[in-house]
Amino acid sequence: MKKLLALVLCVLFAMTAMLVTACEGEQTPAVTPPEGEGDIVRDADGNVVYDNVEIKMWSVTTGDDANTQDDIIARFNETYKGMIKVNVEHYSRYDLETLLSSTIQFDKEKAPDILFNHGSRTAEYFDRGWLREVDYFFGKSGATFDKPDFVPSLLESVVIDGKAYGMPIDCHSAIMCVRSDILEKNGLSMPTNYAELCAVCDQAAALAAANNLWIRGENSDGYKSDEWRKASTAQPYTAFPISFGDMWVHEFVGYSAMVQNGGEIVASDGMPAWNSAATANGIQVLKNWIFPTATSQNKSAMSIDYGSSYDVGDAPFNKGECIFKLQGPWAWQKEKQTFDLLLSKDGGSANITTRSLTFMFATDTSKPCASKIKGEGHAITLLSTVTSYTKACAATVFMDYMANFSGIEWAKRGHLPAARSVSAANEYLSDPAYNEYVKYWGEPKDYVVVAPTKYYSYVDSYFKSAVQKSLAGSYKDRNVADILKSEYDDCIDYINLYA
Amino acid sequence: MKSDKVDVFAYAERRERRKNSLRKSFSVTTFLGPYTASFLLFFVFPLVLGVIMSFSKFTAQSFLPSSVGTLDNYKILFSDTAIARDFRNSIWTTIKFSLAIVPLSILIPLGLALLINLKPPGYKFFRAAIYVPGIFPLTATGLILMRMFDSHYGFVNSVFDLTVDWFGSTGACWFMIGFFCVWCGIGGNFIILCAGLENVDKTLFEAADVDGCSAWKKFLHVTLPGIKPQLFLTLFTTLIGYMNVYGQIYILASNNPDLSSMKSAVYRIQDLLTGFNPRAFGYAAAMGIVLGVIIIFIAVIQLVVSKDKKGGGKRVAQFKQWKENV
Repeated sequence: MKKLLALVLCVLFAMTAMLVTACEGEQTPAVTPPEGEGDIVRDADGNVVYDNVEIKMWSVTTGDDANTQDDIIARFNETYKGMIKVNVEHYSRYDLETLLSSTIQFDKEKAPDILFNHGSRTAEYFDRGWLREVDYFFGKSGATFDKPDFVPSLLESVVIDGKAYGMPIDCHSAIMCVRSDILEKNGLSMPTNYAELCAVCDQAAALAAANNLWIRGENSDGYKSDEWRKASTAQPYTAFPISFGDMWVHEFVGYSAMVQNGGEIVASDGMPAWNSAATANGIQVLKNWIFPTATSQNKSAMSIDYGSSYDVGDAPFNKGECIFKLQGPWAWQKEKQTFDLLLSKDGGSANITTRSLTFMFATDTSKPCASKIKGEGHAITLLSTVTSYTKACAATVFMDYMANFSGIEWAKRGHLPAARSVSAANEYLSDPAYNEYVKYWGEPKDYVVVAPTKYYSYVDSYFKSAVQKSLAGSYKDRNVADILKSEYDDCIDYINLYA
Repeated sequence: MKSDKVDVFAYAERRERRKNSLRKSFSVTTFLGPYTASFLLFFVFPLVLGVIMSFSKFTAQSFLPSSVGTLDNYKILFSDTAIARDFRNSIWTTIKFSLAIVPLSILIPLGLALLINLKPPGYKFFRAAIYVPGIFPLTATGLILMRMFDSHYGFVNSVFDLTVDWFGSTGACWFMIGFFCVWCGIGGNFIILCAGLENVDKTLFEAADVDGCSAWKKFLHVTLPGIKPQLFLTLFTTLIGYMNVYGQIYILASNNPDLSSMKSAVYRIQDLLTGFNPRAFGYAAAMGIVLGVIIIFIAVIQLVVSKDKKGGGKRVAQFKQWKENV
């Protein structure tokens, strides 16, 4: 029996070895450049004929974003009824890539034709041979891709070696929620840059220490939520809570502090570029936020050390124990609903407002980079699994629609248009939502996304680690530049493995 | 005529033997076939594939190797690169953690099993209650712990007026990971040890009572030897389990600024697959094989140390000598 088992194992080992060796070198064929008309059929006027062409799209949106996107796609399908139909499947960002990877490798027939995902992943996907260039098909379909109309940073994220592999759709970042009622009651002004923000936070802290800061909101002290009360003097008043554990900080704020102070995320060769004095200055701003020094702009702490806690602004914001907090723009409607209930007898959501992160970490506002915001942009990319030229052409029609016609509806969910003509259109600017809050989320031209790099995962994860360490109490005595250097070295070491 | 008779008997015997053999093969195939097929497909095949992958190179475009038969992955693991340093540190971290957590994961369930074995009122409820935390998904329990122990909004710090950042400082975070492991992991060992205690021969306890043994001596000389197989089983499986620890660290330490130094070996392997880049498969497979070899090595040491000392020849010689003297 033992001999038989040994024999079976040997045979199995040999078969596996043979199988793998036989497959050796049989790589996924490189995506061939498109040529000719393929299966495209044209009518008498030379237009592409779309006869019930169905496109499968996987989208990274979930929840309310997914619902809004479904509505927009339903309108597209209605407009192109009988011609093009887009079937969308939504996946969380945590599942999408794994699923895509295995589907493209092992189950191509079930793979989508197009992908609605973050544009910054384009270079990595290109490196794996997952993408097809779109310019050729835009040329065939006659759909519009007016590249100069797009925000440069967003366009660059989908362009590799001069060829576009998708179309940028939108950009988004974290936003600031502001208790305008507390500012007004205490005679504090709305800050428009870092220096003003520090001044407001210092003033609020000084007022609170002197038992003169008026606040209101949720409390367990017996006050009504809309009743003004004096802030406690038991502990320092910190007007803008942040923490290294907060997603908003390591996804957007750290990067924004970097770019507003002249730092760069990625070099032209795709390698990380954040090991610089400018980046260290930017991160130092955030460190001073929690651990002020004699030379820092803020004299008192703008946030206590919340350590690894996350969403640290939520509770103090509702209680009035802070004036500013970080949030995702897609949650703005929920913030408004909360305050409509909380302060229902005194203006409701009119007591809060929102601002973008522009200028909020820049030590020198005169520099052109001071207005930059690190964002993330969605883009629709054409996958190598698209099964026909007609489908690829139909996909370009859909990309054009999403970039140019989803406009204000998509922006209300925090996704500002990537196309400048859309954000300048009368239909966009005249929408009540624009004047109420969308206009405060900054200019799309100020949004910066990670430039194309196939090392995105490493560039991003090691920078996040550097930000987290710089803001952590346990690393308080360590120089920011040293931390950046150490993380950078490790990052380079890992990247070189794949070089 | 006679030879014909013999032939008929011989034929009948042969036929019966063949029928029996067929019947036996059918039973064996029916009962063992599915297991054997699954074992080969889901254990042996991946293992063999993993070994081959560890000697292969990959490109970004495919899950299949671009070349087979290279030692590069292992050379890198034993070089002075960041990946090698990180992997070595993670192995050491894993071993230290296992050494700390395995005794707790055996002793705590053993203590609880001894208490339950006394069959106090409501012992069935307690037996179920001890097992329950283990049936919830790690993520759910982890999130509950994160909320409970949040440094600013968690009720643990609030009730006990503490200022500990349970997930932000490295020491506290290890404590939480250990707590998480014990909380969710003792159920299985507890049930095994309970079953073992149930099966200890009661007459041995009576004999020990007659001999005037104290409770401690009964535990030491009757209970422990009685549940020795179960103890070794739990020790073995728990050690292997914690040498592969990943989920608990991933959930609780994800916001720790020192996460890099807290990563276990499996965490490092997972890390290599960040972005699902097939290029990393070779290194990841080599790491997996190295980790596997280390676990086998530890398990073998454990088996050798825990092997019954039979005494054999030495005892026989002593007995013979005694007999001769008598």
